[in-house]
Amino acid sequence: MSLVELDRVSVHFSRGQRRTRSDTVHALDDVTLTINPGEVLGIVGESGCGKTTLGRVIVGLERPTSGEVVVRGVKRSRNQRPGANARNDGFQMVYQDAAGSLNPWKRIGWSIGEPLQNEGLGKAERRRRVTELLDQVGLPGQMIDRYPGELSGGQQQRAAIARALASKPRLIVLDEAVSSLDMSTQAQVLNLLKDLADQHPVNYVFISHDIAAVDFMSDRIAVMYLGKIVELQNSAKDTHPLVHPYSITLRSAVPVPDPAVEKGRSRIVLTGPVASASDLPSGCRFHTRCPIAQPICSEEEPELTEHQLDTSVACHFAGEFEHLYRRSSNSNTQP
Amino acid sequence: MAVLAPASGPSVLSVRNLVTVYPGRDGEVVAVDDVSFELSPGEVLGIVGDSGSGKTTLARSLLGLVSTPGRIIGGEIELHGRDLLKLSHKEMRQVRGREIGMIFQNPIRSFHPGFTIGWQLIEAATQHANISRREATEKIVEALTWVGMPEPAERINDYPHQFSGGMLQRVMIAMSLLNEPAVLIADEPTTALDVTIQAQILELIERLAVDRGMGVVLVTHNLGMVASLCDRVIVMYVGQIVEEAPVETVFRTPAHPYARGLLDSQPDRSTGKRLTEVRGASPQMTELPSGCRFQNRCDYVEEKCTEPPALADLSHGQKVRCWISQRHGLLPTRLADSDHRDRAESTGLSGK
Repeated sequence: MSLVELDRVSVHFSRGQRRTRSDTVHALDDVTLTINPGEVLGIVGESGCGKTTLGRVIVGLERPTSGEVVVRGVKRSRNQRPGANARNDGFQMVYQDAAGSLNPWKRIGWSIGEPLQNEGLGKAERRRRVTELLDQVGLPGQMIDRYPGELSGGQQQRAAIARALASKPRLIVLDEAVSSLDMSTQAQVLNLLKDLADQHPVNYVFISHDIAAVDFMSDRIAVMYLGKIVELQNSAKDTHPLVHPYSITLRSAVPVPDPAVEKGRSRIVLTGPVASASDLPSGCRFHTRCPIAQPICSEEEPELTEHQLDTSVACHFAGEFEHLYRRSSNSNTQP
Repeated sequence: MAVLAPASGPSVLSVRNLVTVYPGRDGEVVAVDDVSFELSPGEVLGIVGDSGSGKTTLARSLLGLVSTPGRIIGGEIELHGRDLLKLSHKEMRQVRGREIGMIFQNPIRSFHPGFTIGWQLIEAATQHANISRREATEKIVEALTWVGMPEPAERINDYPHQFSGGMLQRVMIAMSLLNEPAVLIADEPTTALDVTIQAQILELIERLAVDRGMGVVLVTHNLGMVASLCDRVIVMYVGQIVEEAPVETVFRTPAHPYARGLLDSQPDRSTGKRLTEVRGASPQMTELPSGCRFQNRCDYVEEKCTEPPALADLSHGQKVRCWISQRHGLLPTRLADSDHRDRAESTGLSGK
């Protein structure tokens, strides 16, 4: 049984007093997605693509405007308060801003132990559990009595992860969890997350704009653009290169930390206006910037369909851009 | 990458023994500690480091924009042979914008929200040159065209909030172009932007250096950007330069353990194995260890490291502040290892 299933989930926000069409922000449109036990789902996309909203829907903090969320075979009730869903399902979230998710006036030990308050543990027992958690995330025991302000950014994020682990969650949504960390601490936290997943029966949804970090963490990858999943890769390893023109562009746009590679490669630079989620283009949402757009792309919206084994793509011309791109660049430039 | 950048030549900007301090509760914090470097025309110099390494304070020192109570207490910043630190505030205002251009991380905060882009650009253009508003308008439309702004003649009547972040960063670059400065200081110019937009801005900065011969100081924490754009790199750690070298050399054979650690900790999609990490965290500026500042995170630490190492010349323009590599030689990275394994064509292994 899958852990979470999303069936045509949409989230629309309306802003302003007049509820006209252009005031509606389509944060998420018709997203269908399955999360299986024991896997890490990576979600990658640029700002405004709906990746955070998707994470919040999965956790249960956001109620879909339409569509169903099924958690371990049971439809999630639409009458529950959003926060209650997260608690009942045993889902947790870790945010980019670790300092902001810890109470600055309370000691670290209190913040980590807060989710344990309803478990009926004695004070000593709770302290023992918190010390255990600190140890698991690689923080020294004396941190239990420190305030968040006394910790470095990396240590704060470790504390936030410990707090998420405290209630023994089934799933943790990590929303840009390493993005604000220093270069030299990002690797520490990524390794920690991998180690924890080996030791605990916990699933991750790893949300990031950094495709290198997503590649590293994930078993499956969803690429999002303007509220839609444009590509779903069921195997994140090198055997399957990305197919959708946007995914290929995204990977090509990220400079590789190796001057020898950078020298020999051509970067795809997109032209064309970036569309907005409150004023969606007709047809394929990427067609305003797509290098291979054809007339049909502005008329008909492509569905997410299986392109090859383990890869689903929402593009009328799936695969064609890949060929073009490979031919025009040398062997160094694997997208 | 600015391919034609001269390896040595008359430098347009030379910084010698620069020291910038901030007063703190527990005494003065030396944010920029004895920093020296040269910048040639058409060269892109990368300055990398973690937060708190002093890279932004260094950039602001070059512009004479250190925020009070911070101040520069020593050194020289020579632009075309003139020491900027001897100039008055008024003279320095003439230098900024005309001789040194600047772009910052957050373009929306670099503009006044209440005036049109055109108004602000015209102000920048007429500030330093005795030209009419009409000439200035022509000039800014030309600059906006150069940075790839669609319909520049119409868009100059728009306000900052009507632009996207990427477009506004282009406007910022256009503004810094107006007076053809010899040096551009770019402090994290793409950090607030999406990666597809970042690619566009990278191209622009590259063109500034290659086509216009501008010397660029690029402050960043993004090693990918450094690899694609820079000719030379300075690695900073808690206020000091710990390594300086041509970009190929830094990525293949970094001499400082911190530089090596940073390079090896980059996620590599082909392996998917555990990442190599730099353990621990940077020390606080107020609690610096005596001797090498990296010693408590270093895998190679020796007794000698309790004495402060100097920035010493190795070969081929590489400088390092480390006792270990000064004695034992260089530290090959994962990149160099894999080159060796694949018997791929050597790219800079010999330090050429």
